[in-house]
Amino acid sequence: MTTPAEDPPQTPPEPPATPANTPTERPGTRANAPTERPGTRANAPTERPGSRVDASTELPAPPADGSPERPVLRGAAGAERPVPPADGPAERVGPWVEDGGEGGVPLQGEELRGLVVSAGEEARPDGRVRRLHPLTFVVGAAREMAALVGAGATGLLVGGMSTAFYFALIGLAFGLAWHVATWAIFTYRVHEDRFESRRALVGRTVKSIPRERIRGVDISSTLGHRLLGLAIVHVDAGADGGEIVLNAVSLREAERLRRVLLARARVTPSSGPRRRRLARIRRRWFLYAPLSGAYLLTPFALAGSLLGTLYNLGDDLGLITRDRVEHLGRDAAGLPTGVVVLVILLFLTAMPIASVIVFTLFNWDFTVYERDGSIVAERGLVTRRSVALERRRVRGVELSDNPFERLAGVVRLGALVTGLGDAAHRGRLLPAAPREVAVALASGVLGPVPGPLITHPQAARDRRLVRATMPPLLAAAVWLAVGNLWLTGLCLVAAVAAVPLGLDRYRQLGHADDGVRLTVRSGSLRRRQYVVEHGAIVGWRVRRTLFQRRAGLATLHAAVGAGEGGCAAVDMSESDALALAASITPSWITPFLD
Amino acid sequence: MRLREPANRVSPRAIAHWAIEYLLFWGLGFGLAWGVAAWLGDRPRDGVPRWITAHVGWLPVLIGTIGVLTVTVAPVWRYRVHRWEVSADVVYTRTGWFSREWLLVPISRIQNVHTEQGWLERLLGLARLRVHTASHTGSSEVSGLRVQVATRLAEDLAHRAHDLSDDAT
Repeated sequence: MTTPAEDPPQTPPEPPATPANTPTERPGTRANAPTERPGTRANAPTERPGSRVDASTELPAPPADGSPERPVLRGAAGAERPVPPADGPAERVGPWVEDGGEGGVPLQGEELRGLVVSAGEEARPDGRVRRLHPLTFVVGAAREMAALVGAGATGLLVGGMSTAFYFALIGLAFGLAWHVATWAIFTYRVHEDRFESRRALVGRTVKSIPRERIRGVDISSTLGHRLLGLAIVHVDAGADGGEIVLNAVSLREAERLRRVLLARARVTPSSGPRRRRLARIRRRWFLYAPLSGAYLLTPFALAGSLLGTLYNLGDDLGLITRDRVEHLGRDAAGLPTGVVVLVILLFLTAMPIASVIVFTLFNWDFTVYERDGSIVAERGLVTRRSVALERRRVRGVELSDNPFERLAGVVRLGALVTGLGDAAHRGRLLPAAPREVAVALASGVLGPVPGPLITHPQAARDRRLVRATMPPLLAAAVWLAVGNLWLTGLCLVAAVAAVPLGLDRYRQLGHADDGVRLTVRSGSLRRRQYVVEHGAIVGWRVRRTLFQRRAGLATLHAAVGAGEGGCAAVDMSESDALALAASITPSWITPFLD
Repeated sequence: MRLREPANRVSPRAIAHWAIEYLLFWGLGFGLAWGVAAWLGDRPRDGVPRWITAHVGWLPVLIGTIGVLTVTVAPVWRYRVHRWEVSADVVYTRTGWFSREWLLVPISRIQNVHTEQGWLERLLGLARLRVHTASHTGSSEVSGLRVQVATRLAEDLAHRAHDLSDDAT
């Protein structure tokens, strides 16, 4: 994926590469011999040394007949733009058209009326202008209201009816007015070919996502939303952050939108059940929470955010002075050792308990089901979150665990989805589950996981060992040269401890292929096994360092336009790596083999 | 089973390009290291451990040696490694020097092709070709091509990619 920075915006308006400019060479010929054709575009850059030669050749526009794969995005001004292929780096066009500024056509009165969603509507685009739920401003303002009321009450307690309190009240009034205004000017509608939201008052902002590019429709709700029967809808279009957020619509409307927006795949009405459950979390899996590192740290995160909030609040109200902070610091430093130890012990016991609590909050009733060609994962106790992944975009899965989870036979499952932003959170299919459950779900979502894994050559073990022990050994050598014996010893101990790590990292290396899917596994402290469909592979990268070349090893990267961009079979023997790639995509590899 | 070399070398002027780039980079590094060493000097300072001030004189020597080696060896080495080839349906490149990478990207999976020139490349009449796919791992860059070659390749590839591509994921 390109970052926008890589695409210089000052690209000169080169004429698009029309067939007239195409070199006449056919695919078979190698374009190495620069045929000197003075006067052609190819030579032009040398004639204009001052101009910036930055011929950014994008894929040409699709044919005018408009194949369904490449919709034409119609901007608000009516101008047609070719839409680059899905998740293309040509994202510079952007998944939507921003049209700010004046001169916007005001909405028609007719469109402004009749906005409330009626029940039991057909799941098809109707092009009607809709508005967020009228109660939106309540949930929108709830948080500010709570904060302001809290601040006001504190101000009242501390300093009587102070100016701060009046300011809080005025702030609250402004906040409410702002929320009502936001609600009034925001509309959205589903067209045949795109989903559009617009914010129109004096200026106008139109966001438009071609429906072909919608990757997922994600429904979530905070506690406030759930009390009012509302939900937040995220309409996601690719990894580069193109999304429209509707905060908030009624639950029924959210479901309707999801159906409409994901129905593009034209699934024939299935004869089976419309909603089929694939997996569901069990209560005792919540006890796996302490095994994963991230949840263990939650007490610290909670304490930190609590202290931060207190500090900010206190600071706003002028309660915190330099004097008091210094006093507190002296007090903390003067605490008896016993108290400190007690606090640390308290934290240590709190860690696993809090991790289970937080895990439960996030993953309560984690359910994965299949519906209308989508995989839907729902989770959460207070904030209920539901992520729908279009099935044909799920190109692989990732099984990951750490040594503790391995001992307990627990694994996390994630989906590799083409062009899904924030894939680590949104592609999650199981937070922690017994291995066989996760593998069964992987089979249900993608297909059977190939196995058993083929181990990698002995030379790979030596390389893992060297790579694990080398850094601490080098550090030890440096400390020795400097003359710090204590640190030298420490580094040597670390080097010894790295030996089992290196051995384990070798043990975890493996790959397998069943003719449909490729799987590779590597890592120890965070072991990951990727399973990827052959069709998802968009290229091969073979990497060999000098040491790998001497040992006859090669790391084979399969490039996949989903997840983190690919997966690597680390340290295979060179011929095995090439044979594996050649067996998956013969036509890409065999012409280049000796 | 081995991969054969891609058919074409990059322009010999690429050696000069890489050499100047390395020279600038390591020259800057050497300058900084020398400055730090001169500033810290050989005598003890407050707040700086003794072992640092005692050995800091070696820093510019170390950086200078690595720099000289890199500037003299790496460009030629890279030139011998860097090769490219465009066959009927695959873009095949080999890049790197100490660690090498062979990249095979089918034209049907290419999403976007463009050429780029920095100021140094413009002086030398070189350009780099970037071939993007849906995956960062599968995106390649060939630097040190002549401008004409790079421009023509980019156009050619873009057209053929468009003819072949569906969704390119």
